[in-house]
Amino acid sequence: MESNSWRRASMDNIELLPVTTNGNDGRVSASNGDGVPSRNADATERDALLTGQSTTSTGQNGQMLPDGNAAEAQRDLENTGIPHEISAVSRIKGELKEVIFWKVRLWMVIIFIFLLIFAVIIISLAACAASYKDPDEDFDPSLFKVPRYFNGSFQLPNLVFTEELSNLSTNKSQELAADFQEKLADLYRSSPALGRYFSKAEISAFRNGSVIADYQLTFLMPEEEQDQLRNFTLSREMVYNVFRQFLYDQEPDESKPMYIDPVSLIMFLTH
Amino acid sequence: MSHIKPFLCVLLHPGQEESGEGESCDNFTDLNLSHCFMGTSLYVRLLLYTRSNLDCGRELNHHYLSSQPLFNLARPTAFVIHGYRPTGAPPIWINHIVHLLAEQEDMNIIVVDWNKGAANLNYFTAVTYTREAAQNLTGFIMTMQEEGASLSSVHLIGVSLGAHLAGFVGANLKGKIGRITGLDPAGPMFTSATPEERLDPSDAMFVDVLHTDMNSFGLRGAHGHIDFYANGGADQPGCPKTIFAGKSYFVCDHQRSVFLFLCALNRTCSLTGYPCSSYSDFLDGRCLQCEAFKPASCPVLGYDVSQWRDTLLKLGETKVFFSTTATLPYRKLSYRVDMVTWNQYLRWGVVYIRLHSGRNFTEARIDHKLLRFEQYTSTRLLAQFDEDLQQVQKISLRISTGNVIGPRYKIRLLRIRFTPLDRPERPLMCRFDIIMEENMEVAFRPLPCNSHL
Repeated sequence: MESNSWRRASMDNIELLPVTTNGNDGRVSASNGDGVPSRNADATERDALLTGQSTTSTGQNGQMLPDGNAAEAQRDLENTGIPHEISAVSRIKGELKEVIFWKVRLWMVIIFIFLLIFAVIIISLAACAASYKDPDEDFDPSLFKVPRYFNGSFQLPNLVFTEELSNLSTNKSQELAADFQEKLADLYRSSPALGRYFSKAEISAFRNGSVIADYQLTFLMPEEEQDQLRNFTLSREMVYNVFRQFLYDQEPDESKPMYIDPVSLIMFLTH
Repeated sequence: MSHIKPFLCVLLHPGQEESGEGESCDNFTDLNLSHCFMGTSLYVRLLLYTRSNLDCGRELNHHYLSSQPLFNLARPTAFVIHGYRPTGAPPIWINHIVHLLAEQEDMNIIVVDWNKGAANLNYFTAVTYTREAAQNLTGFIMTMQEEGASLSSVHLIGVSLGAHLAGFVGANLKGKIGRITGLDPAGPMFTSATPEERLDPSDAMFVDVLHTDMNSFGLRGAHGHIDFYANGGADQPGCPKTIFAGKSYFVCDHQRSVFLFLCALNRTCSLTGYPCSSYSDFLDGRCLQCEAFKPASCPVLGYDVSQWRDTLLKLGETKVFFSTTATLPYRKLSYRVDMVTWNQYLRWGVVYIRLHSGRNFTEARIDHKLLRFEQYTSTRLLAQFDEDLQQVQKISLRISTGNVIGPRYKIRLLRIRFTPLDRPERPLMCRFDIIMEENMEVAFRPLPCNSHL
């Protein structure tokens, strides 16, 4: 800041220097010399703005104020014949500046208002879209009370049937049953249509035939719109095919022990 | 004008050229624009082609049929009748159709060359000549009958004006001719014609018509026992939409009828027509039943109509629709798609479906109108694909509701089912429980719909 103001002051100095040759040497250079160190940028600007007005008051009678600054004095000297014109032009300039400034402000305000309105619309739309609650995702699980059961079986071709598996109280069969129950529960819970109604999946027995697993699925549905759910979303076709689709999508690695043969899947609706 | 004609006759030496065996071939009369400009008077030539002279036509004498030993009246006879020739040049498809007809059956193929008469800048003159030409042809067919040919084994194939000409011949013979095939019967001057003044079902025992340009050179309406409407019967895909394309802007749609028929004869495209009241109903998938024709399929465009003939005669006038692609083999592969949604609120949208097989894919855009997706109600649509992918490994689906602002809706499908219509031997494909955001594509592997439910 300091260096900046210094540069400006020295600029003044440079501008004014050739003028000093016009005669009034001593005074101008003296005042200049005085001003340079003490002036700052603000002062210079104000001086420039004030010149017009001060000349109107001083230049009329052709006098020079003793404490007038260097520029003023110099200008008076240069244009002794036309002080009037200068003052009028600079006044108009000043007025023009003021009017333009106001107009600019007005239309900036108008634009700003428009932008504001636009922004409000955008924000509200975005808020609306963000806060949009999908009516299909809105449900109250506490209302789901009516049970619906599906029974069936599937074949595990890669498991060997042992006595141990036939008894569900053994560790091995319990582990296996838990694995499949989790698999079934995951598959139905992640279903967009059936997930909300799914309650539990149970493996009820393992039977011989490499291994055949019997399962039971329980769904809970709300009292209202029961009929439509029975006919569509919770129809046997739908529950069965969601399972079947999952089996078709699974890794085609048929050697894994957990592999379920999709063709073997059987499902019945239990009343 | 009269002093020009003799001069013309000197110039118009009937197109004869020497064939390899030293016998002369009679070719289709080749005229040029100057003849059309001056006008030609009617002269009907009958050029016989059989399996033994496929590339060398023999002009028949109108009265002494036995003078041409290749003409065997025991065989069926097909007449190919061209239409208005504004330039006088022979139709480019003549050779083609002769060869393809010969492949269908061992028969006499007679090209009715009335180029002198049809080649006129003045269309109206050509129209008036159709009556005369029909009289001429009627006389010839009656001579054939007298010599022992049966009318029911006569098949007239008429293109544009030629279709009406065939109709007049049929009417002259009291509808006893076996079959008339009309390829885009001409529209100008026939739009307000009564059935007697144009091709109609009473002109032959069986009349089949193909429409491709009803909005300019073709004739609107139904004129046969069966009317095939390719792409609705008006604008054909791949045909220029502006006049800047030059000549093809005028003739492309109209000429497509011939190319579709040739393609059907060639068996490179099997174009199945579905009976329907309008093309838009067809596109909406409302007319995909073929029960009426059981055990046959829906009628297929082409030479052999024996499977559908009796049913069609019983049904009366039947309109059938099909869509084509812009180029050979023209056929599209259609699937009926049924979707059931479980969204609580009604949604509207257009559907884009892609079938993938390996790196190939083919797309169908069902965007001619907004489809309605109502909870637990099946939405049916017709998806027509340009390519026939043997094994569909993946299907991608996108639904667009056209919403620009506001929340993005989700479409929840309970089931989507694809029924192949043209290939009944292929399995139905299903997918269950799909959730998709609008404008977002979901891809899935189809599974066979299990029949043992």
